[in-house]
Amino acid sequence: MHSLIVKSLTLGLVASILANSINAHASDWPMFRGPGARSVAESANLPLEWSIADDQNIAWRADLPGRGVSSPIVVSGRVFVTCSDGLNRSRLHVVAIDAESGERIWHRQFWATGRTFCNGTSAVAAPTPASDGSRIFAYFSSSDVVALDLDGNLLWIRGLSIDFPGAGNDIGLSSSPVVAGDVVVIQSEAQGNSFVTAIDIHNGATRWDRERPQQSVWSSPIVITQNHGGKQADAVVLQSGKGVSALLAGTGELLWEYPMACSTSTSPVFDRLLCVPAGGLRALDVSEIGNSSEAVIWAETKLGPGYSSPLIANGQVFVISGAGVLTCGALESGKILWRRRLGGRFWATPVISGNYLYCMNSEGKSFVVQIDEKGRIVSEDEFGEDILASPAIANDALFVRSHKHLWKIAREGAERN
Amino acid sequence: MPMRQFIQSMTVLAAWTMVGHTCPTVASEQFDAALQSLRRVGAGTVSQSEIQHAWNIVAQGKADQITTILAAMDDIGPLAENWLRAAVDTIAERELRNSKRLPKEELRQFVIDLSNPSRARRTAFEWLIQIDPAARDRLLPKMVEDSSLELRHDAIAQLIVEAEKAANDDLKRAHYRRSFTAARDLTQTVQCVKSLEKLGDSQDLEKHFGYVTEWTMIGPFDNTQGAGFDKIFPPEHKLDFAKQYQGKHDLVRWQSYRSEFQRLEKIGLVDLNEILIEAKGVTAYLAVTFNSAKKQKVQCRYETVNATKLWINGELLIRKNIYHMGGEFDQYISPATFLPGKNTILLKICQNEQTESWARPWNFRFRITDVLGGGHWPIAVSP
Repeated sequence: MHSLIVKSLTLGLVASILANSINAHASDWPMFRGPGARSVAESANLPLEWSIADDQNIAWRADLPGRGVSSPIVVSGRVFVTCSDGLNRSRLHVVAIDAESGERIWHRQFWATGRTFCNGTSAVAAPTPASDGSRIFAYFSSSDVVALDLDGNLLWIRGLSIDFPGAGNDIGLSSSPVVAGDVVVIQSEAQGNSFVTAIDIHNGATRWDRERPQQSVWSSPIVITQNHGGKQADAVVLQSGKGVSALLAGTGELLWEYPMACSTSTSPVFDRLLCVPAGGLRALDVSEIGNSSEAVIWAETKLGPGYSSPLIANGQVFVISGAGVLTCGALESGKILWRRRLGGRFWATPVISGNYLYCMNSEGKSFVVQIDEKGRIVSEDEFGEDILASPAIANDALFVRSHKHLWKIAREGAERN
Repeated sequence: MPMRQFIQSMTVLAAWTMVGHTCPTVASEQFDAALQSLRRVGAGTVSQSEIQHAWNIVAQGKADQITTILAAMDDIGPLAENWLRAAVDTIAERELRNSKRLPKEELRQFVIDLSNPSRARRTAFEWLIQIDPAARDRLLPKMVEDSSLELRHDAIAQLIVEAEKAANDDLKRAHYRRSFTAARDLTQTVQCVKSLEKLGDSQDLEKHFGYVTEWTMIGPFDNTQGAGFDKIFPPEHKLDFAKQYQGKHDLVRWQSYRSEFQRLEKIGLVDLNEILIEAKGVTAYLAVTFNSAKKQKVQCRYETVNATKLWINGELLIRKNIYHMGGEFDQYISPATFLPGKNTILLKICQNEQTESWARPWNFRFRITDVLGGGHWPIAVSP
């Protein structure tokens, strides 16, 4: 086991997480759970406390044109948010907001071409958009994909329910797209028509698609780099109820698959080890899959996430259970290090900056937790609105959205980028 | 662009000039050609690079070209509508930012002209009320029965607010009745029904929605491991209501059923767990035969959490092998044509073998409507 760990940590240098850095600035937050889908901003200078009621450390609050549980993303000083509203939830919105001022820069609207049913707590704007640094790829539960440049010019549109009849489910899709090289990859798994497809970021053409198990999945893919034929290549890791697998992003070729009963709602996270929610949490050495039966480095039932996804930082893994208990484990062993009851139900995956974890429960209560002090709660506040979307960190600020508003939380008087 | 839209655009253009505005930029050949390219999006006859090029041209248009672009939404596919909508929004945003001006009267004329495409009228309305918020209150009272469901929805919402504020019960009742009759959105319909109930008024919900409540049914047949969904049982070969067949357990025969639910929450519900013995891994067929006096284009709409197939006059219209993934009002919709004389509706509904408590339902609600969702049933049901 130990040699495997050492090997995996060494390989971690090779199989490092892709930061979607094609054109993105270092301070951007270009996709669901940020760079590399790790939910970590290494060096952001965020406030440790704020007050919505007293307007303390609240840089601005912007109105949003519709509901959404998609996360904001931040690219080149602009915050991009998707929303949905209207008759039968069929109006789709993409909004660009100036990160500095909170002013709306542009607003594009579309009519859904696919199914718009969803659970009452969710929205058709459930998947988080992704960006390659110069384009925004907004995907909706209606199976519509819209590509815009940063100024709101329309580049291409795809209605995936036209190309894949029966796509989607009537509880709502939420899997967020990822950009890998010059494709945007969309995982759309449901009983009616289950597939993963890679769309050319330049022209919206399908580069490849693959059938997937006929079972609803709400988790999002991640991108890692892997050795393929002696070269480093982007691989898309997909999780479903039947297992976890990796496809070559450029061609869709299956690189490996590992059967296990994965969670269908939470997403995997990769940082040296691939941590997959499956009967708790399992850590896999992806370099060993297919070569050894010991690809699973550890499995810990007490590290099972509830509704939000796990995250990795500082050699530790963090999960929040369905009962609102934050648990920290050692990445190398899965050993439980500490627990802290926060309370409430957490759909939003927390984010980490430095030694602090920022958590928001679905009732809109926020917690700043010090992770090197066994989860000491540093501060709490109330947004006064449901928060189901994972926050974003960029330009030394935290961006949090509800169904109605987007807040920028930043240190007062701090120099703004 | 169809001739009607062209003439309309020119007419509005003339009116615009007559009221003293400067003459808007006349659409160039390049602009018109680009517009035509965007109209063909989704038809498979235009390349992505051509679409992109065309959109860049159209999106560079001027404010006075907005209604020309909107008129081009006539009789095009949903993707093409979105390309045109994005162009209009881009132009309108830019014009408002630069000149703080949009062609108000032109937009108003476009909105009130019922011959214009519904989504185009809605788009014009949204931009109009940005520059003239009072236009909302002026226009909506005339849109309660509008063919644009989005405009109708807002008009009814406004009428419901009026009903809530009305000085006496007679006026409240009148507003709610008008709202109820026009409403196609379930939430608004429910709101009206409940308000009218408080006023002592009851509505014929079955007729309003067009629920089909009388069925002839047979089952259960075997659907172990979901295999019954694709298996062709005798009712799929031929409908003979006098015959009996081997079911999953015993011989099964056709029986009549009428859904008697009157409350809003269950109106039209056909619950097979109540009619047949609650079971797992089963399927049943339900049929309706009726006479239509003429050829009629209708819509079949139903909700269910079970796997279903729907045939109208032997033609398979809907095939959904999906279980327990949400059951919503008007979840499945298909256009259908009823022919003069005898017609048949046949629904196959399957239950799987999931054992969770939330996987118990084996039921559906089925209605026949017009294209906007207004109830269109019964249709001279044969004896």
